[in-house]
Amino acid sequence: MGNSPILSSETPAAQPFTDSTIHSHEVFRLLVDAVSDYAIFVLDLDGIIASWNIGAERLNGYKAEEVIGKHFSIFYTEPDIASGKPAHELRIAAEAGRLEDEGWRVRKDGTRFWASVLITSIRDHSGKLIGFGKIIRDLTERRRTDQKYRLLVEQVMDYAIFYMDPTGVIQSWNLGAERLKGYRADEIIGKHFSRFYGHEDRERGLPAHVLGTAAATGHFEGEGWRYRKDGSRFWASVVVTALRDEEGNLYGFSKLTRDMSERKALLDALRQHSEELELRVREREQSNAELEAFSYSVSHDLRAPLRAIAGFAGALSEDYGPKLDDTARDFLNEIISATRRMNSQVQDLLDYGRVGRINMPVEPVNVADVLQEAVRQADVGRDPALIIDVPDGLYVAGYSQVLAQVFFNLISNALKFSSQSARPEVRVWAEEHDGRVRVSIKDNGIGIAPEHQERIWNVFERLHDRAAYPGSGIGLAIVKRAMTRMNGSCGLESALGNGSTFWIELRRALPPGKETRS
Amino acid sequence: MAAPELATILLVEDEISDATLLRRAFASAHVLNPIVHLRNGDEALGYLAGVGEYSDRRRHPLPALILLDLKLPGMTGLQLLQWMRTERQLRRIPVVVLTLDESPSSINAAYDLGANSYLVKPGDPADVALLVQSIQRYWMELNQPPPLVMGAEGEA
Amino acid sequence: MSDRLVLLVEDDPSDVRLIQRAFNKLQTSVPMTRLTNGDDAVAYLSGEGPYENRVAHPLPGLLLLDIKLPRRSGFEVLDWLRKQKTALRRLPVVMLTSSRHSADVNRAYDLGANSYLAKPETPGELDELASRFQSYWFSLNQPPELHGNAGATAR
Repeated sequence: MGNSPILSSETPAAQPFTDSTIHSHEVFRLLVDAVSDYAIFVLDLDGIIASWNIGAERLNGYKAEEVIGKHFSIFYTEPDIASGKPAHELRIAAEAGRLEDEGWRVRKDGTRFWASVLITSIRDHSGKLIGFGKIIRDLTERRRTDQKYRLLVEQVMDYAIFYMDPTGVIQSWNLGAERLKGYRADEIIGKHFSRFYGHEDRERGLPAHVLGTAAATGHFEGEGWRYRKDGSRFWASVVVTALRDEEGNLYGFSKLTRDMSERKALLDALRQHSEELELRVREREQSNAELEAFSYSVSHDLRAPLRAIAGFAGALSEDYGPKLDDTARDFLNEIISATRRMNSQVQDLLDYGRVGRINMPVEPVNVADVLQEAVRQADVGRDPALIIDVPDGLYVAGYSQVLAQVFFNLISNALKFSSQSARPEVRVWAEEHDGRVRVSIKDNGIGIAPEHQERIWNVFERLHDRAAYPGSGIGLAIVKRAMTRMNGSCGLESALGNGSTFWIELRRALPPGKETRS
Repeated sequence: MAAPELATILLVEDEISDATLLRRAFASAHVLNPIVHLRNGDEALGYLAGVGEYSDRRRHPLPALILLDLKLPGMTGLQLLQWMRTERQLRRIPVVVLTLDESPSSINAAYDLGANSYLVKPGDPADVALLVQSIQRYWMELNQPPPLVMGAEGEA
Repeated sequence: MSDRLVLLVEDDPSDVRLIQRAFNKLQTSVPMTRLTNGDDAVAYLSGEGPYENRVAHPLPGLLLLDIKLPRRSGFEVLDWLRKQKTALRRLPVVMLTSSRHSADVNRAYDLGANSYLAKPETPGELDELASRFQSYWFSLNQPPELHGNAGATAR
């Protein structure tokens, strides 16, 4: 708008404009008249309203004939009039050429609106001041939103929300901020927000980084230590948002700070708790390992004297057998058989420990091959009671040596228990479902009562007297431990008088060489 | 459980007839172990070193026992033995020299280079069966083999 | 023949008795000399002190060696033996031990043992061991010469 003279045809009394200017500004006037969003009008040197446009009518409520010739202070609030604000604004406009302001203005009906005001001085071609131009915009809506927001912000107590100018100087302060940081509004407004940061953070330029990031990307989010007025610190969750006007110019930042100390304390407690837990688990594992080592060394050391007992009893029997009477030979046989039991017990104990201890790299294992190996070791290949019906080419994910031991134990058990029946039979077969292979070993022995079916998997659990069914009682515990370690499972189906079916399950595997590298 | 089940036996023998005799003898002795027969030292080296196709250890596993003829085309049995004993993964594998050469110098050299045992090929084919049976009963059943590199077990 | 002599180095008296008994029972008996500790084994093989008399204390054809021994361990004896510059270094060594630890097995082969046998638990198995041992090492295997100096080649 600048200093171009404006002609108003509705001002009979005022004639500050020469006729020669009328025509060139007619178009401009029509333009101005048509603007409805802005109040644009002219004041004379004394502030008397000399023109009026549609926007002014809309904004202020006055029709042109109601207002032209009146002093423009009618638009100001009482307090502003009392303080001489209107004249003051004109003086500034005259000296500086323009004045921008925001403030309350009053409409014809007495209601107030928040106005953005621009007053410019109008000079003729000789530079003489001839009047003022005024443009007013209604910011009430925006102000209302601001106001609402401001009220909201004031009331939020759990969050510290405040505004900063683009350099980080605090412009506003809410109750939450006071509560959280300890500063009152009057103490902190006008100060720089970096005082909330710790010394080190300030040294390394964190406050500037925060503003910089928000300015560049729109937001900064982070967590860190912040300091209160009294010097105490708290763990904060912080969001800084860059505020921009419609043109995208940065006019400040809003900062939202939340006290996360409680949550952090909780997290810290949780972490400590889980560390304690880990420590206890490790201790437990260590004591387990010590137990295993102890059991191993004891079992191992028992073997030497066992060897001697068995060896000499055998030698005695061989060399002096014919010279002994029946009772003596009988006693000798008891000794020998006792050493065999003890030997197998020691071996089982060592096997049990070993199965818990050794590495078992999982690989595809041919079930039929492993079964054959177990049969070979048990030396029961020619036992007519044993029927194995497992196809070649069936592979499972496991460790072949240990799986062979599992089958060895189960098949030996099955043959042992079948042997008492009239027509002993042990069947071994395999089934697949859902990617798992189940190998079942069924005997036609006396079966196992339901109440015992859980116990027998425990170490040293025996169900029958030694004479009928010799065995140390660890065999099944070894099976269970081995299957667990190979990520498989084992179980039993049995009824008294109906024999038992022991089964083991492992994940099916592709034959080696056919797997895709993972 | 002493003997590893189904461990491979490597037979390095250039005479096909000898190799066939040995294979048949192993079969009659009910030895189920797979027997890999290679006819010269260079191929045996390739196999043991895992070169080329032999790098697939699933299909070409390291042997648990090597029966080694000394008279081979190209690289001799003794040279192969010497090389083997320098290789970390191979130096523990039991090597039984099985050759026609009865000379003390060869015998001494074989032991010096780290052969576990030295056997002379029997002239009478009937004795081959006995030899193989003895090898099987001693090396495959009685002897504790070194655990092969893959597996890493705590106890044999 | 001295190359049929087995030098047994074993400290457990029961084991010694039982092993000797098992080897004595064989159809072709295997003469056995027994020592109880590693230092004696080294002295015997070196021909030092009381063992200088090679008529009374002939060199064995094979060493049957336990691991756990007083003074020097079986491994130390084996290590010493294989480092000799004389032909003695070729002496076949069979470990006979109660340990089935793969670490021990590995170490034995690394140090140059010819074979590794685990002490069996039952007398029957011990008899079988003696039988197979004898038929392999003394009926089949070709022994090396142990006298004189060794050539340049070494393990």
